[in-house]
Amino acid sequence: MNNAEILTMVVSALMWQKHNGSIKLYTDKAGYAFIRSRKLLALWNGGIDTELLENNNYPIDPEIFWAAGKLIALEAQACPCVMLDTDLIVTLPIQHLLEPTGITALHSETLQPEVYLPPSLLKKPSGFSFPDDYNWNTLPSNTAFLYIRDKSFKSFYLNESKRFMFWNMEKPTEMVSQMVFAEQRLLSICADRQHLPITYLLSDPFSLLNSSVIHLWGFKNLLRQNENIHTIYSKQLIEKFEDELSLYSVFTTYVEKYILCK
Amino acid sequence: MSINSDFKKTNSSGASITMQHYIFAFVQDVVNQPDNLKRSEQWLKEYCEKENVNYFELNRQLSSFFELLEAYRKTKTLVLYRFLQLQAQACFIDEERFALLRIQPANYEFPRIAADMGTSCSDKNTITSSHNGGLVGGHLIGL
Repeated sequence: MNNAEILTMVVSALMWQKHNGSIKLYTDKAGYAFIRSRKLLALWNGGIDTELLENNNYPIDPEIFWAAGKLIALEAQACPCVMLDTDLIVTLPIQHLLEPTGITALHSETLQPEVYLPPSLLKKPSGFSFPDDYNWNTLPSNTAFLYIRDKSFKSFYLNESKRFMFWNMEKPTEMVSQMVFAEQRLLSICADRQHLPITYLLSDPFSLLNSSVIHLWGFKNLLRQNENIHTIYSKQLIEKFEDELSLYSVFTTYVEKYILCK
Repeated sequence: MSINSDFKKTNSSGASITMQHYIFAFVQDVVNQPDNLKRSEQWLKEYCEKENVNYFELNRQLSSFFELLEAYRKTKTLVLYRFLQLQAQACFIDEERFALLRIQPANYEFPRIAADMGTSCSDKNTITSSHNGGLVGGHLIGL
C-alpha cells in the first residue's frame, strides 16, 4: 500500500465511525505489524482481530482466492453487518438506506466475459458441479461494500462460496476470474436462488448523482504508477476531509507525517 | 488540531494577469515547440523574479504538469485529463486557457458523460472489477 492508499483507509475508517458506527479490522500478523509501524492501531474503534485469519486452516489457495480473508471474516461476524473494503469511503450516514433491505451491495457489474467466465471455463475442485438452478444471467455485485441482515442468507452464500474455493487449486492464467466468481457473482446467484432482492448503494458507479461513496477500485493501479497522480489525489482527499476529521488525531498526525512531509 | 497544509500555501499569493499570460505562453511553447525550452525557461525565471513569484515552486508544478501530460498522451483517459486540469490550476492556468492548449480530449463521448457519468469510465462494458482507471465518486473530491 502506498501513502495515498493508506490515507484512503484512514479516511474510510474514520468516516464510518463518524457517521455509521463502530468498525473492526480483520487482518493477519503481517498486516498488524504494518499498521503498528504506521501508528494506526487506534484507527478501528471496534478493535483489530488477527486470531481469526492467523488460525484459519481452510483449504483455500490464497494466490487464487486473494480476497478469501474477507469472506472468512464475514463468516465470523454476527448479522446484521457491513463488510467494507479499506479503499472505500462512505461519506454520509446510510443506516436509513440499509434498514429496509436484506442485502445491499455497492453496485452491479456487467457480465464481461473475460472477467466473469462461463461455468465451463471456471476451474473447479475435483468432483464439483454447479447446481442446475444457478441463474448465470444474474449480474454480479461489487462487494467492496456489502450489508447482510440475516444469518441464514449469509451462511448459504458463504457455504456455496467455500464449496467452490475449497481444494480448488488449479492455477488459472490470470488471478481475477476465480476470485470474482467466488465472491461477487456467487453473491448475486445465491440471492437470486433464494428469491432475495439485492439493493445497490449506486445504480451506476460513475453517476454524478452519487453523493456518498468514494471507491479507489481500479484507480489504485494509476496511483501506484504515477507520483503526480498520487500527490494530487492525496491533496484532494485532504482538502475534502480535513475540516470534518480535524478532531481525529490519527488523521492529522498521519497527514502531517506521511503526506505533507514528502 | 489543524493541518498546516503545504498544499494550500505554495505560491498562494498568486500571479499577475501578465504573469499568467506568460506562463500560459510558456506551456504552449513547451507543448508545441519544445526546441525553444531553454530560452523560454530563462524568460520564465526572469518574470518570476520581477513579480516575486517562487520560480522553483512554479517550476516544480510545471514539471508535474508536463509529466502528467506525457502520461495522459499515452492513455487518454478521462481521469488523467481531470488530473491535468487540476495540475494546470496549480500553474496558474485557468480552465479557459487550458482549453486553448488544445490537448486532445479523453477517449469518451463528452455530452453523455457530462450528463450522467463521473470519473473515468468510457464504456458501460468496463463496469467490472478488472478495469484500471475507475475512481468511483471522484467528483466528490474534485476529480
